[in-house]
Amino acid sequence: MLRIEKLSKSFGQKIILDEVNFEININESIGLLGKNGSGKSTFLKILVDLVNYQNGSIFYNEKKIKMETSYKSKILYLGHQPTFYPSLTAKENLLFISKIYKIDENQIIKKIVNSLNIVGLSNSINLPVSVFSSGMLRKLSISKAILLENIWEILLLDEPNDGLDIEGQEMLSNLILSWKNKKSNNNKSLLIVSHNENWIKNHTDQVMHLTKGKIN
Amino acid sequence: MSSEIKFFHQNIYSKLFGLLIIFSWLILNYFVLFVTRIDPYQEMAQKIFYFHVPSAWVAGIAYLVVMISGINYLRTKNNYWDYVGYASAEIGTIFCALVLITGPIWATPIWGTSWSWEPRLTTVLIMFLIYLGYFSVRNFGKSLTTIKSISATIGVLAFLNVPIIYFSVKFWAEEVQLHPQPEMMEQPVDIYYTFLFSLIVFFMIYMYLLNYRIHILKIKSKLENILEDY
Amino acid sequence: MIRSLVLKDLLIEIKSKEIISSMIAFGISVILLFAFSFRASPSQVYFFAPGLLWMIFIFISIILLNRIFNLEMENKSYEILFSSPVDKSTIFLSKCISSLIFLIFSQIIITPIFFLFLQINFPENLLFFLIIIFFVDLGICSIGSIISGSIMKIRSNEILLPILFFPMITPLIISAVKSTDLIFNNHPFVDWKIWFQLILSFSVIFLFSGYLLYPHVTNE
Repeated sequence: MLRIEKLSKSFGQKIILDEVNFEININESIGLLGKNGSGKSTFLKILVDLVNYQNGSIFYNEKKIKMETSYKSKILYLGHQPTFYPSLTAKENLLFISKIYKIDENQIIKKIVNSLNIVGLSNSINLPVSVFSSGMLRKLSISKAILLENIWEILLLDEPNDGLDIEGQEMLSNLILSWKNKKSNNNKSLLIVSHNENWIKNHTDQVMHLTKGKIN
Repeated sequence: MSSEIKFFHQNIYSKLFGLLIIFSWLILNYFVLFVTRIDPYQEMAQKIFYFHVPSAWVAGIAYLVVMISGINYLRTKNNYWDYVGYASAEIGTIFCALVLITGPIWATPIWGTSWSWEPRLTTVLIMFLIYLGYFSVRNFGKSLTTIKSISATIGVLAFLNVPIIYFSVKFWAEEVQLHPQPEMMEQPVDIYYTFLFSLIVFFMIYMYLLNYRIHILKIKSKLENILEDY
Repeated sequence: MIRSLVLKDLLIEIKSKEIISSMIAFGISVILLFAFSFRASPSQVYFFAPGLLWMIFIFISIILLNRIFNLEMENKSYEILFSSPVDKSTIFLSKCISSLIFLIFSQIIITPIFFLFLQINFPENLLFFLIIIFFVDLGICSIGSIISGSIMKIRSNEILLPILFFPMITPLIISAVKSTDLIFNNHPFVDWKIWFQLILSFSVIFLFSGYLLYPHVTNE
């Protein structure tokens, strides 16, 4: 589904990715392990157009990608630091996101409330995000993936269980499991980046390592 | 160090080119001072025209190069275009400064005032100011890719602004249309050819400096990378 | 799409009231300083009023342009937009429109105070005056958005913005002051047509070039 060929990225002389080849198939879930600073996050950011790459190509469904909006709507990125507009409330943030991803406006508020319920933020719907703790932000970020469930085909998660309490971790595990097994109307692939080897082995089909700019 | 760096002055072609420029510069000065006729009205002051006008032309060309390499950099993100743009911006600004210095030197005896809001001179001044901003952006970071993209953008915007600046100043101070508008084709042969020669010499200086600065910038970025590794 | 982006900016502003309140407070203080530093007769004030008015508008737009993209820098929220299926040129246009709305809103409040405090009359050709203000604002917002949008990721970009912005808008300000002056003195359209054309071409050129350049600047 998503194929990367000879992708290179360096900051100055520091080589982050060195002609990386990578492929993720339909309904596959891959875990990517690596040390701090090995370029895992940069790799994910490249896939969603937050960082430029120098050489190489990205194919999506065998079509070469130049970060068209049609591609970017199919790939959802939940970063290591969840990003939201701090002065807007959780509901307003999700409403804005639902608009820029052009999801069906029908009963949108209900969908937003529902996705916030799943992650356990039902009491904080109308609180501004600036008062959220990091664990709450993480949950809000996960609710974004639930809200856009029918849009994305690939979900990129960067250290998704960081800062989550026990309940949150359980909720996340269940969600990942349901995304993996669900016979939904669109395909779901997961690419999870973490440094927690045990956790990632339990949640993905295949584990890869990013070391010295190479994925293997 | 794995790759041997060949320095600019070690290259035989750049050496020869440099010598050629020194030689032509001396010839140019000889022609300007002793061969071309002395203007009956402006006398010796007119001689500055052989340096003032070519400086302005070279500054214009240099800024055009900044814009072209800026567009290319933004499209390809290839560092080479960043070096070309940066080097050309520096040289263009130096020539702008020359225009801004030689202009008032000429204007003092001829117009009786050192500064006038003449459209061309003012356009050069505003370009000079825009490029001072460009260099402060450069100083905000060393070789970050963001800085490079921003500088490229400013280079493009600055050049697009040139005609608008020119016309707005022109209509703004319509009484200050003192700038000589010489028809080059009607000039006597000695003035005409000396002027052409001077244009060529200035352009050669630009080319030489451009190559030199690009070379320096390449070495500098190599050095920064080496230092980063430690 | 642009609509939701602009509405988001407006909603943030309605909640925080940061931008417009500081623009208005700053604008009025500058008017006061001007009024006190030139204690001149109304006829003299009339002579330099167009220039003063545009100086104030430029100062408040610096505040605006510094803030408008910093909205996206808080909590790195620009990552939401840049990773979403929104065209980056659309983001640029939305910022132009939001800053245009903010600028016009604060001008609506500041301009009457300006005429009141400096004790001069409103121009008789109010419509022409408003047209000129609108198109100059468009120019300010288009070049301002592309500059401030490209430097948003640099630290201490607040210092950098005026250094880059002021020389760039000189032709626009020359045209704005000239045409405002002519309108204040009840000149017909033909007299300031040329200035209007310059303002219009400035706005169009930089709106268009910003639209094309912005997607390429934002990538790291």
